[in-house]
Amino acid sequence: MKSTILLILACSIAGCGGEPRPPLEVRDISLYAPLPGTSMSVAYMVFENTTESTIVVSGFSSPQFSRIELHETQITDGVARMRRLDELTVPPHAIAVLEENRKHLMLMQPLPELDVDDPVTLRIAYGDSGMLIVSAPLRARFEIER
Amino acid sequence: MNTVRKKPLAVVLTVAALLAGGAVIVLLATRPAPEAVRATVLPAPKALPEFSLRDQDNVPFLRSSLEGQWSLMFFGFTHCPDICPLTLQKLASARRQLAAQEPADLPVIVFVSVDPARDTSEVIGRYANAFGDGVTAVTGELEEINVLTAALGIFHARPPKPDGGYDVEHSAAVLVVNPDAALKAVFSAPHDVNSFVNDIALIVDGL
Repeated sequence: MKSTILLILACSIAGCGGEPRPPLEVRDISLYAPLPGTSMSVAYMVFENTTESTIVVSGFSSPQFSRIELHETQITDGVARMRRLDELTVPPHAIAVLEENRKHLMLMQPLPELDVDDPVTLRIAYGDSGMLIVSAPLRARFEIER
Repeated sequence: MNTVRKKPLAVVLTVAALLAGGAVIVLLATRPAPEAVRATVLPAPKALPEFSLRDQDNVPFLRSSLEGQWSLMFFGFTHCPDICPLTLQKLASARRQLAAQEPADLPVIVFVSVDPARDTSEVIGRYANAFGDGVTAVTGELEEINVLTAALGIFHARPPKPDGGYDVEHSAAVLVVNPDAALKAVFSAPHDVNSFVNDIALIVDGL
């Protein structure tokens, strides 16, 4: 009886029977369609590092866009500049956020047939050989109210 | 006997009423005036110079085009995925809220492109349409854009990128121009809709 109770406790602590979390997770993806007259758009999301080590995200791509770059909006002395970043560092057991007026993904030249509500596949390269593939619907950027 | 007693009471009540009224007048006269939350209001409006640009319909956009209504000017470019559309969206949202308050003095939004090489009249026209009514998009020759930006203290530059192409850097301020085509106030980034609504209403009312 005692050994059974100890075994149940040990399994609860170790998470026996549960799926291990992937080292890198992405959530809260907002991926927007280009505004009329333009061929580039933006995406925001949250990365979570579930490991004890720092994860470096080094590349983004999508079959629906010709190129995706990581950028950061910087406002210094009232002047807005966009700087391309080579990588995104996610500390151990922490998150990195891509959000409005901060770091964001710039998505360039979508496929001509891509439309609002269509699923977009994002391939996210990290570490030495890690690859995370996620999908999110393409959303209209703003609701036009007249 | 009763009349004699009532007179002092009437006098007391009258004096009390006068004192109370006087106190109310003093309080009203000395209450602090409403202040702008985020905008910097110029003590004296600064007249804009003459300039010659064109709008999204290829119609000349001149200094005189700003006369007769309040304008909220923002300088940016359509290849900007983040701060430019976000600022225009906030201005559009603020304008819709202001429309519910004082439609007679409703300002228009003027988006001036500082990237004329890519932002043709057709491009900016389609772009401006994404933000709803009351948005005018303007472009033109770089020399003419410089006339306007220099007068308004707006910085813009197009540094080249290592792999070709160029970035566009620009002031993120929103400028409030009065119906005499003079600069009246400036909002510095970061921007928020509530501050736009509050301050623009005060400025249009004569702050």
